[in-house]
Amino acid sequence: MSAEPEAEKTNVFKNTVIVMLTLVSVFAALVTFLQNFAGLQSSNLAQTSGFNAVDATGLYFRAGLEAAQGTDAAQRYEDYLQRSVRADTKARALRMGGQGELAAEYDLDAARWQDAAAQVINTDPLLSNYGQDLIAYTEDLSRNAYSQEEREHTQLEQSRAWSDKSNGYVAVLSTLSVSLFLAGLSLTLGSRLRYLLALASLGLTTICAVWVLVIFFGGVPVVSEAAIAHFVEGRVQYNLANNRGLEATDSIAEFDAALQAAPDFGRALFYRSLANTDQSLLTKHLDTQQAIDDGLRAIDLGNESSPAYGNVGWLYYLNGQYASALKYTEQALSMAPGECYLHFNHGLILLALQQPDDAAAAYNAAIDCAQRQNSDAVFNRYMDSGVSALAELAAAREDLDDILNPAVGRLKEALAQVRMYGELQDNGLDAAIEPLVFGAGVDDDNVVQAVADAFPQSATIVYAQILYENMRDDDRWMTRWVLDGREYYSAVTDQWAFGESGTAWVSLFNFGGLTSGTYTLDFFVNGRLAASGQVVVLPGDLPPMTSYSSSSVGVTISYPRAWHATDLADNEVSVIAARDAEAADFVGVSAWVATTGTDDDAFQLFDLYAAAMGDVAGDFSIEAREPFTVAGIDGWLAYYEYTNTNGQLIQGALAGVVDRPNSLVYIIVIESPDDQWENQLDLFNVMLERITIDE
Amino acid sequence: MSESSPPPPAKKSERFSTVTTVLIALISTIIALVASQSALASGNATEAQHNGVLAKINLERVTGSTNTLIASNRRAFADYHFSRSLYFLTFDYINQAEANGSSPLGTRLRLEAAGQLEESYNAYNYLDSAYLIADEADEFYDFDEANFTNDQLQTAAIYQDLNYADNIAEADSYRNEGLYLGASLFVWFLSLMFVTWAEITKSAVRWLWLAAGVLIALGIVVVYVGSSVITAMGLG
Repeated sequence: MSAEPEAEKTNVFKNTVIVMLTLVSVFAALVTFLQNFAGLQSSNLAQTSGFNAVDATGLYFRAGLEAAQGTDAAQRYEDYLQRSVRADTKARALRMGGQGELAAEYDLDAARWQDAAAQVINTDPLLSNYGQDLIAYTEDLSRNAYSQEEREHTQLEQSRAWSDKSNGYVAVLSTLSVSLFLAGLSLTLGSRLRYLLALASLGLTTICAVWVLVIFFGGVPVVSEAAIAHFVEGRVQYNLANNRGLEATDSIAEFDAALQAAPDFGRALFYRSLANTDQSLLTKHLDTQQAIDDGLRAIDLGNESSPAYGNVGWLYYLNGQYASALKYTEQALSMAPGECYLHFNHGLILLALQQPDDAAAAYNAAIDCAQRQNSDAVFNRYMDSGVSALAELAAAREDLDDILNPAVGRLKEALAQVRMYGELQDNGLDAAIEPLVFGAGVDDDNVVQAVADAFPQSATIVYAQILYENMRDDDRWMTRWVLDGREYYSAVTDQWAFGESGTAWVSLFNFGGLTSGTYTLDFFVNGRLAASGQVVVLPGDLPPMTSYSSSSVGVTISYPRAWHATDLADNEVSVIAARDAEAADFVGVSAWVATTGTDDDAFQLFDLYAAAMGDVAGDFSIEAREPFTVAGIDGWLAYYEYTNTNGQLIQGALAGVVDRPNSLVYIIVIESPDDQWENQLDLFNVMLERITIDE
Repeated sequence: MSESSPPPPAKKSERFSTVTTVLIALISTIIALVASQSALASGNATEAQHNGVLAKINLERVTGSTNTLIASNRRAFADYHFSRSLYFLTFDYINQAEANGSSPLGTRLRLEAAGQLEESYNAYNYLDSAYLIADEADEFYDFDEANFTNDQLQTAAIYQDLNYADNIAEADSYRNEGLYLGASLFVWFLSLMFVTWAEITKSAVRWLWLAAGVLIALGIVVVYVGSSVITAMGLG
C-alpha cells in the first residue's frame, strides 16, 4: 500500500507549487505596477523637459529682442553724444581762431545734443542701469532662459533614470514569466525533475525580488532649485569672464555652491572643470587636477560629448599626462572630426609624446580643417594659436626643440602660402637669409643702426635687417609681424627688387607708438619661412596709443587708444581733436591761414583765443608765452586756466607754430581737469612730441 | 434493459470547488479588463502631455512672431518719439539762438527741426497706432505691448491650440487614473491568490481563504464605485 503516501506527496508538491504560483503572480502584479509608475514618470519628465526646452527657447528670443532694443537705444544715445562732441570740437576750434561769437552758437548746439542724449538715457536699462555694457545686460536678460534650460536638462536626466528603472522592471517581469513557466511545467511532470524545476522557479523569483529592491532603491538624480540658482549665477559669471577675455575663477564659488546642493549635478561639474582650465601651459596656475576630476565625473554622469572629452584631454596635456591626454583627445575627435582645435591639440600631444610622424599627420589634418573654415580670420587664428601652443611647449620642454621647430615652421608656412597664393604650395627655398636683427634706425647703406632686442615704450618704429643671398627678381616675399601671438601687420610683395644678394631692411611703424609686447617677425620667400626674429617693446607708463592722420588739417596726432578722435573740416574750421569720453581731457590741433608768415600770426591767434575764452569763462587767465617746438618747428606755448561750465577748474596749454612754407598757422590746445593735470603731463608731452605736420 | 442508480447529490466540497473555480475565472477576467484600462489611461496621459507640449510650441511660435512685431513697432515708436522730442528740444534752442533776433544758428536749427518733424511722421506711418498710449497732453509716450500681445494671441487661438494648461491637467488626470488602476490590479491579484488557495486547501481554512478573497474583491469594487460616484459628482 505505497501508492497512497506517494499520491499525498504529489498533492503536497502540487499545492505548494500552486501557492508559489499565486505568490509570484501577485509579485508580478506589484512589479507591473512599479514598471507602469516608472514609465509614466519617465514619460512625464521627458514631456516636461520638452515643455521647458520650448519655454527656454522663447525666453532666449525675448532676451535677444530686448538686448537688440537696448542696442538701438544705445546707438541713438551715442549718435546724439557724437553730435554734441562734434559741435563742442567745432566751438573749441572756432575759439582757437578767435571766432568766439560763432563758437557760442556751437556751444549751444553741443548743449542741445547733450540734452537730447540725456532724454534717451533713461529709456532703456542698457543705458540707465548697465552703462552700455551689452554683455552684462544680455547675460542678465538670459537668466530665466538659463534656469529653464537647466530644468530641461535636469528633467531629461531624471526621465532617463526613470526610463532605466522602467526597463529594469520589464526585465524582471520577463524573468518572472520564465519562473512561472518553470513552476507550471513542474506541475505537469511526475519525475523528480519537477522538484528541480520548482526550485529553479523559486530561485529565479528570489533573484527577481532582490533585483526589484535594487531597482526600487536606485537613485534618480535630483537637482534642487537652489542648485540651479547657483549654477545659473555661475554660468552668467563664467560667460561674462569669457566674453571679456578674463579667467572665470569668480564663477567657481557658485559652481561649488551648486555642487554642494546637488553633488551629482553634471553640468555644474563640467562648467567648474571649464572654469578651472588654463589656456596656457606656461602660465598654468588653476587647479588642473580638480578640473580633471570634475570633467571625468561629468562624463561619468552622462556628459559624453566632444567638448567634455576634448577639455579633459587638454587638461591632461597641461598636467603632463600625455597618454591620457591622447586617449581623451582622440575620443573627442572621433565624436567631432570637424572641430579644428581638437586636431591642433592632437598634434601637440603627439609631439609631447615624441611621435613626430604621427604629429605631422595630425597637423596636416588640422591645417586642412582650418582651411575649410569660412573665414580667413578664423584660419589665421587657428594657425597663430597652434604656433603659440607649440612655442609654450618648447619653452616648457627644451628637449623637444628638434621636433617642435619643424611643426612651428609648417604652421607658419601654411598661413603664408594661403595668404600669398590662396592655397598650399610645395615650393623650394633657394634664398638664404641671415638671422634677423632689429634696430632703431637705418643708414644710407641699408644697415640697421642702434641694434637691440628690446626698445622703450616711446619707440614708434623698429627696423629689421635682411641680409640675403640667392634671391631672384621674381621671388614673392612676405613679412608678418605677430604681437603676442596675434597678427599685428603683414605685407605680401610680388617681386624682389633688391638684387640677388645684399642688405635690405623692413620696418614696423606706428606713429601712435608701438604697442608694448613681444613682436615676432617672420620673413617668407615663395611661401617658405626664410628667417624669423623676435623683438620686445618694453612696457611703460603710457596707455596703449594710436594715431590719426587728418588729410584736411594736414596733421597726424597720437593719442590713447581709449580716447575718441574727431576730424572736422568745413568752410569755417579745420581741426583734428582727441578726447577722453570719460573725462575733460582734450587735445586739438587746428589749422589757420597765415597772414604775415611770421610768429605774429601765432601771437594774434593766442590773443584772440584768450579773448574768446574770456567771454565764456570770466576767470580765464593765461600766462606769458614761452618758446616751444612742435613737429620740429619753433613756436610758442602758454599755459592757462579757467573754470568750465560744470564748475570744474581746467588747466590748459595753448601752443602755436607757423608753417611758413605752407603759409599756415597751427594752434594746439591741450586741456585737463586741474587735479589730473600733473598726472597727464607725461602723456601730453608724448602727444606733443608725436604731432607731425604732413608734407 | 438495465437501470442505473441516479447520480449521488454533489458533495459540499465539489460545490465549493465549483464556486471557487467560477470566482477564479471571474477575477481573471476582471484583471484582464483592468489591465487594459490601465494601459489605455497611461497612453491617454502620454498623448495629453504631448498635446500640451505642442500647445506650448504653438504659444511660443505665436509669442515669438508677436515679439518680432513688437520689436518692429518699438523701433518705429522710438524713431517717432525721439524725433518728435528732438523737434521740441530744438525749438527751445531756436528760441535761445534767436533771443536777440535772427541768427545763422537759429536758421539752421529751424531747418533741422523741420527735418525732425518729418522723420517723426515717417516713423509714425510704420506704427500700429491703435496700440499707442497717450498722456494727458495727448502725446504718445509708449507702445502698449500687453494689449498688442493679448490681441495677437486671441486671434491666433482661433486657429490653433495655445492653451497648454488644460492638456497638462488632463495628462495628470489620466496618469493618476492609470496608476490607480495599476494599484487596483495588484489588489485583484491578491484576491485571486486567496481564492486559488481556497481552491486547493482541503481543510476548513479554505473558508477563510475564500472569505479573504471575496472580501478583497468586494472592497475594491466598493472603491471603484465610490470613486466613480465622486468623479460623477465632480468632487474628485
